[in-house]
Amino acid sequence: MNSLDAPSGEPVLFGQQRLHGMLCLPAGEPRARVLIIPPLFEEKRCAHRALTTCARALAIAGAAVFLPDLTGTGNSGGALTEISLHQWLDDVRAAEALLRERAAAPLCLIGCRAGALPAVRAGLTAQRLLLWQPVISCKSHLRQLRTRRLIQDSITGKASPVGPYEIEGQELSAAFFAEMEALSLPDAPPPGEIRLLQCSFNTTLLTEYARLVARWVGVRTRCLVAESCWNSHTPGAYADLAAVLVEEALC
Amino acid sequence: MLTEIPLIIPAGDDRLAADLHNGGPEGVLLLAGWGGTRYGPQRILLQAAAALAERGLTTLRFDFSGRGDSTGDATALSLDGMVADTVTAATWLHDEHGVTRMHLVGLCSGGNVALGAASQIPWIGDLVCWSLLPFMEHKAHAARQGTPRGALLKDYLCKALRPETWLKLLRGEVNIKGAMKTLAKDKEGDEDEKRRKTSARDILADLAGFTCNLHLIFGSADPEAAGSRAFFEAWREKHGIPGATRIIPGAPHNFYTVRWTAEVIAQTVEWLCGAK
Repeated sequence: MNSLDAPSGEPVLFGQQRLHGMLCLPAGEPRARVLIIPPLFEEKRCAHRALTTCARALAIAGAAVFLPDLTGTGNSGGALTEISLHQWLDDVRAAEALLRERAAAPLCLIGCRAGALPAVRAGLTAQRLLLWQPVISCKSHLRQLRTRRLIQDSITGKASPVGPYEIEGQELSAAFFAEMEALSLPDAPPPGEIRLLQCSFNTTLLTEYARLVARWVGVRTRCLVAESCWNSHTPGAYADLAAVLVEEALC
Repeated sequence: MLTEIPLIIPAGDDRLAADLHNGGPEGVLLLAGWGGTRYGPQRILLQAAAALAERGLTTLRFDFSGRGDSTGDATALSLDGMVADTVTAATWLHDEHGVTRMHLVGLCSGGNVALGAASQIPWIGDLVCWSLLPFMEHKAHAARQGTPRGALLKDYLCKALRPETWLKLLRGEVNIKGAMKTLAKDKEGDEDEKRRKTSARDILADLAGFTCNLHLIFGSADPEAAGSRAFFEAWREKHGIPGATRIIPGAPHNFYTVRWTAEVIAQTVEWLCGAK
């Protein structure tokens, strides 16, 4: 067992929908609460191990950490054809409420990739918001995800039976799809300290992040040369990434 | 509606994160692929569990050691370790929940794990393997059936023709080095990963006397499907093992659309529950 495996985490159910999540508590009194909202669709699956590893590292560093699966994602029940964006925002609030029940400490909210959007839009009061390679506009993100499949189809030479409101094998209702397309980070920054972590192949801040930082004055950025774990086929050890997450969330 | 209980199954020094639906004495273990989580791509394993639970079966989805929410070193995962985890989970279901007949459903490497675990579980039932891969020792034979690297090259060429790629290129936002590395890389990983994907046992020899069904589902657009299908159908016939094969036209390795996913699950339910 490696050092990141303790505390290993406790699977819990939360909210009225009895959603699934992983709670990692520190050995002593928590110095912080950390709520991690994961990426969406297949990026969530690819990033799953990295997020769990980071959650454990944060707990070792003294934080109470919760990694929820929103309705219709991960191990949680529910179907994306039956919910609206409102449900996901409620889920984020319910996840924060569970964390608050278990620990009284300042909140750090981490939104990874498209998870940054419901994280920010849920309206939580966080002492620190850490945007981890955030998706700025869901519309272009969804288009990219769908385009990726179209390229695969062009490789196989056959059109796949993808529905008009289908994203990576997950079907959304027309209304929810429209809500998702309209979802973006707000023009004005939410209250509290804001940090942005970019993981890319070099340390040049991406244009879209440079624009965000210009709009949201005071955001502290960090550019990490690291594999994008949300595209990873095979999970790695993620020790270096976890160490950076601990610094950015707790220091 | 699927009502699953999240829980932890002890496995030696590790803890396997799992979700259980408590049904009847007939159970199904759902096995993810090499890098996967217990819900699977487009949540195919969760959806399959729901469909099987609806037919009264006990279902268990779990993360292998070093994957998903389970403990363990992600870089030490091995085929034999995955088989050991599966036997642990099957034994736990038998001892704690009275499951007396255990089917295994595996995706990709999870199918290889199912074959490896089947001879180690006395109360084994049928095996359903989705996109079963040839074992490492049979890869060379199967590789001649497809051109996955050529497909990858075509993917990059398609991207290269898009205007936004050129815009990103001008801004220095395209990882050319990474793309070249991906093209040059062996998708089975480095020598250590290949070693970990190879069993110390002769899994197929151990399974030669298998008397339950071995069912196979492949997507016709999976580059490895043709070779794998030919190999396992011949092996099944040689050893007189019953079972059927279903090909889903146009589907790739992970059956990534809603329709293909539904087809895979419906076929699996029909095979495992059809007679009920």
